[in-house]
Amino acid sequence: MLFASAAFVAPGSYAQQPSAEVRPPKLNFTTHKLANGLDVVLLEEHAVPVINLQMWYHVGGKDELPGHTGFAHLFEHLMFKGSAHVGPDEHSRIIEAVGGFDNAETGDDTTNFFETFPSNYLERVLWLEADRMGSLNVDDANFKSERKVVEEERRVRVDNEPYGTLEEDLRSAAFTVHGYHHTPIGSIQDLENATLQDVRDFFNTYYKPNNATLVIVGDFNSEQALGWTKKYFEGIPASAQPIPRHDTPEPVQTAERDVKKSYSNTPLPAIVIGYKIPARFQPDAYPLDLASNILAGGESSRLYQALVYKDQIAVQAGGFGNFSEDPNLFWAYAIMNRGHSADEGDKAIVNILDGLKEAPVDAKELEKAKNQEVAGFILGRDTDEQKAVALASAAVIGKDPGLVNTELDRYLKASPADIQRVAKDYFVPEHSTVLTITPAARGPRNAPGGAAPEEK
Amino acid sequence: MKRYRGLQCGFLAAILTFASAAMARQEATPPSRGEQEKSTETPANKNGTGVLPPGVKLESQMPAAGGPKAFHFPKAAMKTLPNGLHIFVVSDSEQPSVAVQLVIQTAGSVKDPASMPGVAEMTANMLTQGTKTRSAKEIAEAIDFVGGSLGASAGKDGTSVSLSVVKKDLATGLDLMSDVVLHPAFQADELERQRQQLLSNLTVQYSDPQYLASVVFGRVIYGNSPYGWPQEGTPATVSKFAPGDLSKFHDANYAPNQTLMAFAGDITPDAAFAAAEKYFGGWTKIDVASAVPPQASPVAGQHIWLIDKPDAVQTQIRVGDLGIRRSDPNYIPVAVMNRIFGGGYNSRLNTEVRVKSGLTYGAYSSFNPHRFAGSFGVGTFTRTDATVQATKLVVDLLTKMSSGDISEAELNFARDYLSGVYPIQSETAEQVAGRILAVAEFDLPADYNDTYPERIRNVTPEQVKQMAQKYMQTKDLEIVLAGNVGAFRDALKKEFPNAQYTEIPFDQVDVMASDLRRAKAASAVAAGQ
Repeated sequence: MLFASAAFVAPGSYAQQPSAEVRPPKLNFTTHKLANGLDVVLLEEHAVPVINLQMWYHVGGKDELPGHTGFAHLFEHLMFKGSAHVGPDEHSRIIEAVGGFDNAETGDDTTNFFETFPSNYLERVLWLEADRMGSLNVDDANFKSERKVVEEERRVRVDNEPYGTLEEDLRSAAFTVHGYHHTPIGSIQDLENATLQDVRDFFNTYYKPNNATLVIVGDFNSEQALGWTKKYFEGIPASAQPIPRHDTPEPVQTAERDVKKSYSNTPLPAIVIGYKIPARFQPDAYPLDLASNILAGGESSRLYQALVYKDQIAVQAGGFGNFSEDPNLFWAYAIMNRGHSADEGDKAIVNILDGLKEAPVDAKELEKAKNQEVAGFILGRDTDEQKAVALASAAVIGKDPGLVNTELDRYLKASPADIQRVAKDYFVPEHSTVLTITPAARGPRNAPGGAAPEEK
Repeated sequence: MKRYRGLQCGFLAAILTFASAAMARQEATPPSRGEQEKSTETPANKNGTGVLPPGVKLESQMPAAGGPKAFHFPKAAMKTLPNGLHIFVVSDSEQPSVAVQLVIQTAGSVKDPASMPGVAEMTANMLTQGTKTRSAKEIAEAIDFVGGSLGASAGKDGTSVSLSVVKKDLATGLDLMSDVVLHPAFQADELERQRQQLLSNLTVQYSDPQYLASVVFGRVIYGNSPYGWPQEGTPATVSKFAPGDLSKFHDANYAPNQTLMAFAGDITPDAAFAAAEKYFGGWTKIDVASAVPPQASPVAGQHIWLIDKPDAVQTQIRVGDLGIRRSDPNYIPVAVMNRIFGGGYNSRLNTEVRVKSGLTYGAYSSFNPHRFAGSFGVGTFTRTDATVQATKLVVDLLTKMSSGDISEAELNFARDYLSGVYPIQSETAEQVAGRILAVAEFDLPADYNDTYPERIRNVTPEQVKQMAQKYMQTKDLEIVLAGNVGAFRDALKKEFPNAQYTEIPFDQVDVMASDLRRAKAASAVAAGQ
């Protein structure tokens, strides 16, 4: 790996604060670990009688083996289907019945379950989460019905949506062995092949307290919350085996990859260039993230000004780093205006990225990028849920919830030379995958020129 | 979490902020506040398996609730400037930031000139694209430099301008906000740029069955009138308007005496009033003509609109009728009734169409009330070959609901949810300010926000029954299906033999035409090809 452990800066090691006038308020959380390995992060916020609870399992789309894509996400749906003391779909009903709501999401790295509810129901919600962690039960009828639901989810988000396949088109070419090769929604074919036994094996492998992190933010007493957490979760043993990790590193890419796709429901050409970048919380992630502000942060950004405003060749243009647990992609993209080709977009994007390599950004432009970070940290932490998600992400992916209080400093110390260096190191053709989308002649859906045939 | 940060808006953002949620979250009904006293405590373990894996110990009893905690809806400070601008302030110093919102109540798309929908929305979009003294780029530089956001958009009734900044940058933000609202330039070259953007966006939207179904549904519910037209306009109307149309719209409808202004966040009332006076005190009061849209003709019989998109793999389904206006005294009982029918995950609709049948990822119903009228609609989607089954199921569920036969448990659940969720949905100063603005905008009772949970809990079985009988009937119904029509047309006609049918190829949809179908010659242009 390119980046040594120097990446991880201990919490509190920044003695002097960089010179920003306004800072996000510090989050004064506490951390605990149960004997069975469950990590617990607690943050009291008493302004409103509300709590947000996050239960994150450290398993996601990237842990799926070939032929089993979409499984982590299908499993997430099944976590609502009942356990020893809770009937099928009762989990959500019990929470809605007290004026709360719940949901879940599956990403590449984690599967996240969360609830927001009136604060006098914390004990009940902990009991609900413990019951499904300890005793999930799925029968064949539930399993098959929910699989159909997931297939409709895929159709509405991917297959029936203009540009819906763009992410899987890009990633399937950019990654050859790593699990980021596919997106968490998976393929309908793989979902159809899943069995009830697969469900049980998945549960028994990953849904263990030693693979989970519980974050609670809101109106509660920490001592009482910890007591309830122990009461309800300590009866669930840790896994006998270590949690398996499918983290085969992607081999270093040595040549540009070109992918051309054509669909009947993409009436405007589009171009996406995916550059390999380091993982989240690594040192170079910060100058790269600032570079994305300079490229795409608002209408004054370089890509918007050049492609959308001045030359008017694109209807949308942008760039952002998809920073995840393992190295992923920086996306630079444009959806072209009518009458402009994807090739024009490709040249214009590369020209703008080259600009970052050729000269250091000026001080004011960098200050703007940093101000955008500061504002993002402040404006993005208004609700209990936003705070809880920040804590959970830092705890599970960063292995240190304290990053919520220290990470901003990593942005603020970046220099113009850092931005120039990461642009030179990462925005290079041999580490890129170039996806070109063109409109196809109208016709039946299942004849898209060059499209992946997996959903047939 | 910073996944995919940096994407601003639009169709690509919707795809890339991929988070495959277990349930489509949808808040179809307004929340209420409550003391969380529960009228029902259903035992949870009635359907659990009772089976524990080896080595696992769990508590079998669902814990009781803790003592209820009071939530008092925050008070806003209020002031009206001499020019008639109404100011509301919700102070909350938790984060060093301030959000400011202007609601210009007379600048909605309901005021769009005849045959030119899109003017209100384009006027709003153009505010930040140049003023008498600042170029579009200067405005973008100034707001981006402080990491803030400034934007405007038109709704059916009013236009909303929003500013969000770190506290120390409030003066910078308000200076920009005032300039774009009071002195927009509406330059021809900037309009042309925005127009081309919008036409490109519409080219994509007209390939999206979700967009097509929603736009056609709005049009057939409200008829060929401002409420029935899409706010963004159509390819044909967007191509028409000139800078003078926008400045005329702005000058006639942007008035301080018709505007509500809310500050939410780390600012005191006095500081907010002084800032409002400084930046908006010079805005001149004018008389604004009111625009009452023609009343939509009631739906008569069942009318099924088929939008044919042969490459679709899934059909977007919309079913509904006219609903109620926002100030209707039945608003609260309707909200409770809709929560039971389709206003949440645990509703009759979603339970039957998603949970039990696996036909969809989500099925919801909502009342969308505006100042002069409102709609009621069910929205869902299903694979092409299940289109008839899902449509029939939705209509059957409506018919069943219209009997008014609703159990006490269902009513309790809906009342408990709507009253209990109120504090959650009043968590931030911005949410609180939004509720306060709604009371002012729709002339709701002064104690509306303070008494909302009570109002919810006071809804009676008889009221809910009446609402169901009145609004859930299926004799008169608009149904829109956008998908691969050839695959289900015949089966559909067998299932709904008495309905009236209109079929339109997706690339010939024109909501300005009386039959919603574009005249042949214009097809190529308006499809944006």
